[in-house]
Amino acid sequence: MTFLQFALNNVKRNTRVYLAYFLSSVFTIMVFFSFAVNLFHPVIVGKRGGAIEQILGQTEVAILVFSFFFVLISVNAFLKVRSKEFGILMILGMSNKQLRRLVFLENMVIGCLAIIVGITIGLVFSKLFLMLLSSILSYGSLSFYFPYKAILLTTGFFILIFLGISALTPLLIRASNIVTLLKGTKKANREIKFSIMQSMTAVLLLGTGYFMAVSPQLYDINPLLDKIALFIENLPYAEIFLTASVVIGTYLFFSQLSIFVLHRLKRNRSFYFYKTNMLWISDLNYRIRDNTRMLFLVTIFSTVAFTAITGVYALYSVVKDEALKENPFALTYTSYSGNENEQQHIKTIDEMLESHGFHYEKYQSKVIKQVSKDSQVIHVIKQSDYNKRASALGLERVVLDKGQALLVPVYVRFDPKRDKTLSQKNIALDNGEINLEVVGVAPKVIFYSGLFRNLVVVNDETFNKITDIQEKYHSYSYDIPDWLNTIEVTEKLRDELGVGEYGQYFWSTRIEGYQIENQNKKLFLYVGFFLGAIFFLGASSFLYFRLYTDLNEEKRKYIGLSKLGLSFNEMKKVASIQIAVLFFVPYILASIHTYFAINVLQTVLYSSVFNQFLTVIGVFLILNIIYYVYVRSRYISYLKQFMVQ
Amino acid sequence: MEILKLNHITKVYGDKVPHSALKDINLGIEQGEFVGVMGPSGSGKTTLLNVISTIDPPTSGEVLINGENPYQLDRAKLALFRRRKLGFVFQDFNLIDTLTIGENIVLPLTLDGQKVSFMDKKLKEVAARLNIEDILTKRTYEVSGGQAQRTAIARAIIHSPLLLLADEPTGNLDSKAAKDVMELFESINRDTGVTTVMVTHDPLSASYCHRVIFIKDGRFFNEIHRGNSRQKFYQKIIDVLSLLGGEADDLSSIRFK
Repeated sequence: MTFLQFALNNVKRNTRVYLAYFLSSVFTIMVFFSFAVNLFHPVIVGKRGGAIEQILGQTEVAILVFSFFFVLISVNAFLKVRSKEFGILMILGMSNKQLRRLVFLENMVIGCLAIIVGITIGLVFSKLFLMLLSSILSYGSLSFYFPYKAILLTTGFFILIFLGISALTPLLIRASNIVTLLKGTKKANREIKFSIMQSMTAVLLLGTGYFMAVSPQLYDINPLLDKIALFIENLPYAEIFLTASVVIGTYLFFSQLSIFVLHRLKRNRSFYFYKTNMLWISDLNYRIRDNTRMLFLVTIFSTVAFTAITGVYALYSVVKDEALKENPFALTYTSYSGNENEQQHIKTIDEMLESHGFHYEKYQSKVIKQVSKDSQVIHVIKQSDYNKRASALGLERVVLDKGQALLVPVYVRFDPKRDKTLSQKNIALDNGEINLEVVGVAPKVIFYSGLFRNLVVVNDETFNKITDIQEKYHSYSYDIPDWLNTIEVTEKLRDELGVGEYGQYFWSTRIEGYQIENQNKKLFLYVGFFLGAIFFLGASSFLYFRLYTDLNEEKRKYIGLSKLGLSFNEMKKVASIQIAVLFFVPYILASIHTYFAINVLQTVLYSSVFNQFLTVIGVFLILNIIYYVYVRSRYISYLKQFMVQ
Repeated sequence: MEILKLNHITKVYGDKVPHSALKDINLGIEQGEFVGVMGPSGSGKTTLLNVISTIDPPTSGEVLINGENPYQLDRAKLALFRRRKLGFVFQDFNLIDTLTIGENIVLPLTLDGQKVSFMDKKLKEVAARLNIEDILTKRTYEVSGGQAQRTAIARAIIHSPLLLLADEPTGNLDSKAAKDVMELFESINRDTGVTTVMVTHDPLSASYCHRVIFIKDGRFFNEIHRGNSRQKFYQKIIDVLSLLGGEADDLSSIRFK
């Protein structure tokens, strides 16, 4: 047996230990490679500097950073478990240099194998990935090409990562003292301490983070709350502060709070001494303490996975909804009074729509622009025009007196706190000649988001009396039920009308915004899904490894207990509870984190994404349950062999 | 010629509450000797062996192996020294689980970068001597405790070390396996002339030695030499042990032939 064979044997015969790590690495490399194949596709390269290149490129960087830490943490854990083995080898005369070489060789064997397998699987699926991308970008079909650049890039970067980690191993193995190495990972189970202060800090930090996440939604409940919410909003680096407090809070949750809770359970003597309760509670104490870092990492990784996937899924599924809210009408043409081609243009639009077989409803409105003495812009629309639009949009019609006015929001998310124009009590037109009392605010945008700031609805009579007219717009809005198919006709209209002319006319469609958004969100969904999957697999790999390494100690414990008369069913119960805690506490905590993270996202969306959140969390719950059932049954059947029956 | 020489060895553990594990130990062991070290629990036997093993430096005093102080070597040279000059046998065998029995045995030669043909030749020799030829391709979890310990002994002698060090080699074995292992130690010592130092609890195992050194509370206590009869030597060991006092269960592993 040569030294190289020795290293190979170590890897080959330890597959069960390395399995989850290996599979996770393969998947990560496969995804990295597939994105690289997309990124280097001649068609994508041809559109240099586009959003696609940026999103894919940044995802690649994120994968690399993740991989570095994933490999580092995994290798560190493997080395810790093997310290006794290293002690034996060093006593047999292995030099530090040889030890480093051994670890290096083993890492490189696993790493190179993962790279080869990952790229191979990636190649097999590359056509599929290209198809996915081309359907997202509606590019027709991206042809297959031999991605030698992607192969080089993937191999190069991942070899660098494995090399870099190997170079760091001397820091990870503190091989100075053979005697301590030989004693191995077996530490005497010291008394477990926790601090009430730190447990409280955990609650406080998590609470702060969660509160900051929901604070934008707490307006209008209580004036004090409003102040706090505004304060948080104006806080510099609020996101970093929020993230940091949740991350640190999570760590303290496992290192302190969980132990504190178990300690409380222990003090309830009638519960603690009931049947096998004592066994799993006292044992869980040690397991959580020994696995604090693992549980913490699993929680954070799961949170990233859940949030990424919920986020992209939510964004994707509300695109249509958002487009409908942004643009209540499929097409809106607005003409200045000086535009001589107005009728010609409208005719063109009508004919074009008709010739393509679209049914439509046209709503015409006149809008007057005034600028008051304090140079505030006011747009005015008459009640009858408003009511036409309102009934088209399913809003209530309004009836206004001569002295009354209704305000209309200009943005979809109207927020009286920030859009000051919506909190006006009185409106003065014609420089104070006409004074109106505000009777309410319309519930929705009636043109499209951003058009006609400070829009006021007035009685038709009042409208006709207005003398101070800065500009009088004619705005035509088209309601086209079959708007999703208007892309072709819109393109033709753009050929005819262009984007508009300054001081003459401008026009906007729902389909164009929708298309761009849809494409972006699909792209997000594509990369976000895979990023989430990578993180989730990483978390699963940590869990698997910890359970596997704990198994030997568990074996010893259950042999002893079975001799004392612990039945198989009792063992099964104790082991099930313990594994369930290790599996589901991180899951639950990560789900709560995700819920609040999604709340942050909610502040920039008009539609609720709670259902999407439930869907994603539900899918992961099912995955987790499957994984749990599988691991638990293997675990228990392994322990069963050693039980005295 | 003295192969091992200990001069005024002391070992102190702990900073805040210092505890002396070894106090002024002097010892000389001749080439080819088979020496046992005995003493009650906590007397410093294993510490002494670790100091000799070059893995736990003494607080003061010097260790000379073949006239050389290993603690003056740098780390790389010290590793080389252990690899070529020393052989180790432990109570819990300390085999590498990922390797087969045969691979475990040749490990010292692997670390030394020897040729595979040389390894095969040595493995054949040593396996024949220890009667484990049949299990060379088995894995560590497939063999009995006695076979595992014989494997460990094979690994300890395959490179013909200067000094063979054993820490409770029979501690995890039943009496039959323990007897086999001790007879192996005796015959290896006799045939190859390898100097052997063994720490043990067990008077019966100790009775295979040429000389037994007793330590108590980290100090040298007594030493006795074996005459012609192993039976009488065994009795003498028991007598010293009872004189030593210590815990009653220190004698619990007594086994009669």
